[in-house]
Amino acid sequence: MKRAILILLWLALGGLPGSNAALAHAALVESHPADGVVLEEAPSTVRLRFNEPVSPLVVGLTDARGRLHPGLETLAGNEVLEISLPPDLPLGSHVLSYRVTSGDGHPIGGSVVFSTGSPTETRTRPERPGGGEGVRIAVLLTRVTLYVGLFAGVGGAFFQAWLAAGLVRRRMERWLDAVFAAGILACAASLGLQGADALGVTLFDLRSWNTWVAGWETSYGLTVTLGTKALLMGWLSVRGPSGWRRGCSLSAMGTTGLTFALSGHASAADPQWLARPAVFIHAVGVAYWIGALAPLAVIIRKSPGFAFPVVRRFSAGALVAVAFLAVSGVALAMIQVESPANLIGTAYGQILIAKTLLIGVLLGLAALNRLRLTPAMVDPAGSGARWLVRSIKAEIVLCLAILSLAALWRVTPPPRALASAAEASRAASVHLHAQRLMSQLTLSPGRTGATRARIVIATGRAEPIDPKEVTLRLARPDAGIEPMVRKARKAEAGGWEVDNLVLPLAGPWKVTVDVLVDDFEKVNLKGSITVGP
Amino acid sequence: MITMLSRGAVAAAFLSLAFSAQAHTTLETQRASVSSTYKAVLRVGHGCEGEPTLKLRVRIPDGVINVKPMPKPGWTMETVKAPYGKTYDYYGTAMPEGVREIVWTGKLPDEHYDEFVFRAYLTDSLKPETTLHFPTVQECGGGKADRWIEIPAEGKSADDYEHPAPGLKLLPANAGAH
Repeated sequence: MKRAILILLWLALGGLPGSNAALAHAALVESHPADGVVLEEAPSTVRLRFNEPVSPLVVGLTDARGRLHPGLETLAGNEVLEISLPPDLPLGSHVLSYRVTSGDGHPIGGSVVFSTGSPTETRTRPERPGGGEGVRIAVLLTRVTLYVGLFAGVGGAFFQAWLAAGLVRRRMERWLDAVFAAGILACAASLGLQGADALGVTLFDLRSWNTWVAGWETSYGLTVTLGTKALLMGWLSVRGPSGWRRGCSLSAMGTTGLTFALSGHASAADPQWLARPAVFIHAVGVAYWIGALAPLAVIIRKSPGFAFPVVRRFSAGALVAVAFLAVSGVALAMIQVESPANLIGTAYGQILIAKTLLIGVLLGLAALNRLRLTPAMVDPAGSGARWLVRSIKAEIVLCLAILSLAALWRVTPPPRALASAAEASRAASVHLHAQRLMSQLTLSPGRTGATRARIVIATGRAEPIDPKEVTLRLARPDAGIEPMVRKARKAEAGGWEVDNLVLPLAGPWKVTVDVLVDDFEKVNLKGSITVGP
Repeated sequence: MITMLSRGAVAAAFLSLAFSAQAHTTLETQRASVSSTYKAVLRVGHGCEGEPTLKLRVRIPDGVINVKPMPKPGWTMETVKAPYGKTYDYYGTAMPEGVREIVWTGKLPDEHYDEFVFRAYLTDSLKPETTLHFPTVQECGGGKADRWIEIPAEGKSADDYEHPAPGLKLLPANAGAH
């Protein structure tokens, strides 16, 4: 028996397709040709290097004549994408637009502009429309269905096998089969929907095979694999001998925990050693609780004579489950929300508050069941059993509401992610000083990737001056990066600007602002600016 | 084999050094005494990024007076006169103003070399053991320009810059053969 369980667990774990899921959103590190570069001849390939392994979703090129070359052949090798360009590109500026997905399943997009011959003005960076409301609502619906399948189905099978063994009810098992079937269907459908969302296409495009492949290639493919596995295990565990049932249902519970622990916002959070186990425990706890509700209600109503010990057993386990749920839930909330102010200030926090309120009501009902209604069951004169069933039904409704709220988190990035996004988009600035001149250099955003520089120049006494030319040099000698030299353009609003800068590395960059005060006088302002990751 | 290779490498290094020195616009004579007349020969080794040189402008630093540029066949020459800011004594003659800038206009293809000559008096107001700079702007076709105007900051040498101004090491009076 024990051995069977171990083997099943091992099978569930061993079957994970490449569980080295990445931990954060991907970002472009460098491209060949570089963004903004002018080449004599069109290259045959473009290489994009990211900070972590990515899979391409859509790669297209808008050439200098505005012609679109969609679906370019793309070779992915870990962090590097090698994109074959169409031959005979016209002279001028081309925009290579990419959309890739990284380990956490979030699609990111960007574009690289390069020119052949000389740059042209047609620098339209095509905006890709989002997947639209239809896709998003469908994603949420399938997500809730998947939750029900995993928690009510797998949890229910676990309950049947371990807590209510011998009280086998045909109807209950048929109901569980239906839940599993719905869950597997939702799992499959969500794959296409995830693909549609990632590609930014509409429900209509679900007819296309590419949409499904795209969904599979996001980290959601892992979720779907594990989820389906858990559901199949659950389905297996409502048939066969008792030992088999127990083994299968335990394995299904474990796989359910992994399904959640290995994908999604929460599992991508730092610190990983805390977030992933917390998600695992939370998911297993939820499955234990929610799975028991429907079978409990049925057993109490149909076989009140046998129900009392079952309820007692569940209740004892539920106490442990609630403790684990509370600890893991609080830990995850602290990781994700970061500061109490974010509870009210962000959509994620508001959902968390609503969820916590509902859980409060749920716990109230549970306490009522445990302390009052369960003891009342054995009171021969009382109507305890009837009230217990009503209370459990209320719990089921509450749980559905809570699951729907949790599904909403799919579309609300946690404050943790918002904060790091805001941090990244913040500008970096440095004040440079020489004997006669000073200058303020600002890179916005002040992080790796495409950025723009703004330079304001004044005399040592802060009087504005009108230099003839301003040149910006950025170098990382420690990383072997020779100066990138860019002439600044006089901005209409005063000051000087450099567009289309791409900084490949984070850390301290050596900057020099060369100011040509007049024909014969040049001032070099030197300093260092720190670029965020 | 190895020695041949390393010799080759050394030779190449020397050549490239020599070449980079050639590539800059520099003065032929790079040492002169104060209180003496100096013949400046500006050597222009190339145009700007392949474009021919169309104009050469030289800024005369303070303390350098009585500037006489040498006319150049095929080139027109202009001078910009302005007050010196103070009055210098040139062998008993008071000199409050004079040439502050020389402009040669003509055409020198990138693949050719040429020299631009002027004569000037280095007054005793200049400090010996310092470097005197003649900021020079080379204007070329296509709106390009090379500006040999970078004056090394303290503790730096001309080698630290991409476009150093042509420099002249000043020696004490009568140190040369005057």
